[in-house]
Amino acid sequence: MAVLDLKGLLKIFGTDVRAVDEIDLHIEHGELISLLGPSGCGKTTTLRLVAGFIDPNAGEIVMDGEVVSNANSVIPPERRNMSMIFQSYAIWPHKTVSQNVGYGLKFRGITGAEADKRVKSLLSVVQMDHLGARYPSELSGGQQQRVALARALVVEPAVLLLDEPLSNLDANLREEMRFEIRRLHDEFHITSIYVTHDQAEAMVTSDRICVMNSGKIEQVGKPSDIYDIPATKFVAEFVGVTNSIRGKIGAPGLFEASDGAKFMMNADGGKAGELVSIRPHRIQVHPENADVGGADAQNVIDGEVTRGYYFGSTVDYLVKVPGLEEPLRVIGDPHQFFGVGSKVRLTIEKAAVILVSDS
Amino acid sequence: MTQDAQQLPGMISGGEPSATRKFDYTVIVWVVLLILLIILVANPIFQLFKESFFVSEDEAGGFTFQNYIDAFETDEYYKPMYITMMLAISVGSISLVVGAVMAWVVSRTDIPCPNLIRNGILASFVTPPFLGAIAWIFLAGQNEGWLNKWIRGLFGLSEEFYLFDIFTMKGVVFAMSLYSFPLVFIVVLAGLNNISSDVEDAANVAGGGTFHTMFSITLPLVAPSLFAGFILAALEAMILFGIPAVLSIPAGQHTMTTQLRAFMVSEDDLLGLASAYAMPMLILAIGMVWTRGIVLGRRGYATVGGKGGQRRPQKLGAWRIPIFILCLIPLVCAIVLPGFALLTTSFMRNLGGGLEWSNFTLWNYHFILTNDAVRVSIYNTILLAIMAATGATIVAAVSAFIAQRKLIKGHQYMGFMATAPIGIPGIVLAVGLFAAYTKQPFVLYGTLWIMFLAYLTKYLPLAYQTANAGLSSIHPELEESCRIMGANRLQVFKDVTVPLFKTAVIASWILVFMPSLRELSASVLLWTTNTKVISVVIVDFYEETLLGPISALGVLLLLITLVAIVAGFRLVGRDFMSSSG
Repeated sequence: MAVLDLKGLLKIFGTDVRAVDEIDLHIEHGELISLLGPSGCGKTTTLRLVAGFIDPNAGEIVMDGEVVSNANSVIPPERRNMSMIFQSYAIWPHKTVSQNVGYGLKFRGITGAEADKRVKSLLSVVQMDHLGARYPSELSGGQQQRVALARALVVEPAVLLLDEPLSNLDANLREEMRFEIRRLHDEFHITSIYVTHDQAEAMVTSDRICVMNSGKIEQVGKPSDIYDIPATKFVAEFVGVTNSIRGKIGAPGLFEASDGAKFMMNADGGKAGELVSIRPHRIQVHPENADVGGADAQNVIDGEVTRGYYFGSTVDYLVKVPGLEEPLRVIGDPHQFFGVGSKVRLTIEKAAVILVSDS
Repeated sequence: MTQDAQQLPGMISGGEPSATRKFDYTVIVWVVLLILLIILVANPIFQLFKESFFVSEDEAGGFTFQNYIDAFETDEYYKPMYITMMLAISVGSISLVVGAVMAWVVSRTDIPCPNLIRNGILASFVTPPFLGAIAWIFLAGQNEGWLNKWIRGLFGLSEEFYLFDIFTMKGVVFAMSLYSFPLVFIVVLAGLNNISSDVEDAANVAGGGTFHTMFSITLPLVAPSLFAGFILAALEAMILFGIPAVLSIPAGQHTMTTQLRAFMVSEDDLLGLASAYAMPMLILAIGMVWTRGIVLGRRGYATVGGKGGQRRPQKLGAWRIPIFILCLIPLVCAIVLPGFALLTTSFMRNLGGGLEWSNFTLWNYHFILTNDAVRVSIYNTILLAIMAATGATIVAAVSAFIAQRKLIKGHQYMGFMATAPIGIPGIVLAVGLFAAYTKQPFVLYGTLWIMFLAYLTKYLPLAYQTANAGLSSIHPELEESCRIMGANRLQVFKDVTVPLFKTAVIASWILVFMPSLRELSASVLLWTTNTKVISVVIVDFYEETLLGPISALGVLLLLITLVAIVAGFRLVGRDFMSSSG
């Protein structure tokens, strides 16, 4: 296990592409942190910098107090005691499952019966113990993924790096393997960095999520914080869907939209801002003129349904309200369906109106 | 193994990371490659160019256009150019039709034994064309040709009657087409196999019949492959030396290649004239190869759909067997008949004597195995083929590795450099090498080295393409995962790269070895008494009308090739011959 510190890490490709733009990140012992962002945001580059496959232009990576990468020198990947799971699995096709899993052990002085024992035990952890003699071409995608996991874990690495490990699996298997990765992390507690563009994967597997965009970190936090209290417009829109409303703070605790609508919110220490985010599922839908209680504790807005899609577990509405040019997106309860043209009353808790920075 | 382990646990312990910057190998690699490229390509082509502007006997006379004027104004020299162009167009067209139709039949219909046809065509591809041409003299010579005799006997016709005469321009076109159509076949088959049947099914569903679909969907999609195939076949016809040397010189016609050789072996020093004469061939050939690259390069749309989806063969119905027989004809003409003719004549005392025991002899084999010149040539051929295959494979593997793994600055130019000689006709290359390495300070003429250079240059692009294709199928993550598990660069190379790259390297070696065994068009200008190779001896014997020994030598050459092919199949698998595309 290890503590990792990325300090002012900079990687420039070509002459001016700042793939990783002076980021700072602290990763605790036994923590699983995911780097989440769209393609080209710098998450994979960050991972490869940590692995030692590429050299930073500036900044440093510190592992348990020791500098492993800086602009002048880089400890090669093989001397970092890390493991990595690759997007393509990178299972060696000319070695059997057992040979694949056992390969890293010889570099750690573990050979013979002891090595066999460890390979067997790891294969049983990933439920592959009966397939040790197979060649990779005889395995399914999910099984290859399990071999990759066993191979990475058998060497008891200080740090485990995962580069979009589930992106080549079909939807069902991907869901299953998310839980599998979390289960293995709970069992081994290896400091891990998990790169993904899939927010659900990040939510399920991670202790903390680091959202990246254009080479910079937008926000780092627990999955629930990222979702409930997004710091920036980018985070709010990339992680889940949201209503972004432009305007300004009128008085403390009151946000005035440019088109006239007013939203009460929790007064946030006089924070300034020109944008709020309201998650669709934080808006409740009631029938017209319903008694929804005090209008001083929550926002109460009347509107008209312009679209309603039934999804089984939810209904996805667009509701036109006065004082907003764009209709509000609302996720409602399917047991009370409002057709297009219905007049409805919406309520929004103060805490659901989140001031975000416009980046 | 324990030693490895001892170095490693120190992993994340000692203070500062080692400040050793890797030594920059970039400069060394580029210098070596540049020197190689200068020796192999730049210098010969430059010397060729230079010589073309000097009158050979009188270099002091300085710069002149006289060579070009002589080459293009003299009727005698101009005519072979015209003939060569006609040959290229005829052979290209015939090969296009035969090759494309057979590719479509094999790829898209329910023809019986498609693999027999496919492998047969690949086999005709490795038959030396000059051997095929000689065999066809036995088969279709005016008076003594077996086919003519057989027809006369069948219909009781007079001795003057003949149906076939191989010593005509038609005969030359026929023989060349036999060994050029496989080029079209391979390219078009690859193109067809890249088109998923789904696109055709979609056209059927939209209401297009089989015929309409073929012309409006399939044909446009393979058009780039058809064009590329035509170019390859026409180019082959243009630069071939063996068949015209065997068939058209006795018919009294020179082609550009045979005319070039006539200049080079002339009593007068006509190097300047030869160089000027080689220029249009060089420019045309390189232009054709580039055009083909451009056309194939933008065939992105042809690979859409990839190899996915089941292929639904078109039903040929009642035509199934007739079309099958039709498809066998080119194969019978290219391999079965010539092979049979060579094998039987190699055991004949008297070539006109027919298939009788009294006519049986082992003398031809005894002759070639006891003749010193022949024995030296066998030794030279095998030695040169091994040297060329090894040299080309090493250079190709190293540069493909550097290019794919982006190991040094400028790695993206590596492929261009390794394939730079592509398109330079062998015989033109030989004139260039002759011009470059017969004078001080580099006198290589008269040694095997100059022939080695010729073979290396000629086959380097082929070796590079094979190695590169093999290497690009190895995902870099396979090596990176090895690094992160604790292996250093050397161990990664040993444990992952070499085992996975091995197949492509072996394929590349054999793909250079086989054509090197029968190389003629460059060798025929570069040989000297001690550096003859089998193909040159065959042409020599032909000029001395030693037809029996030629057959025996041809059988020997085919046997060696066969061994290489079998070894290839054993080591690489059955697809190795089509792996280079």
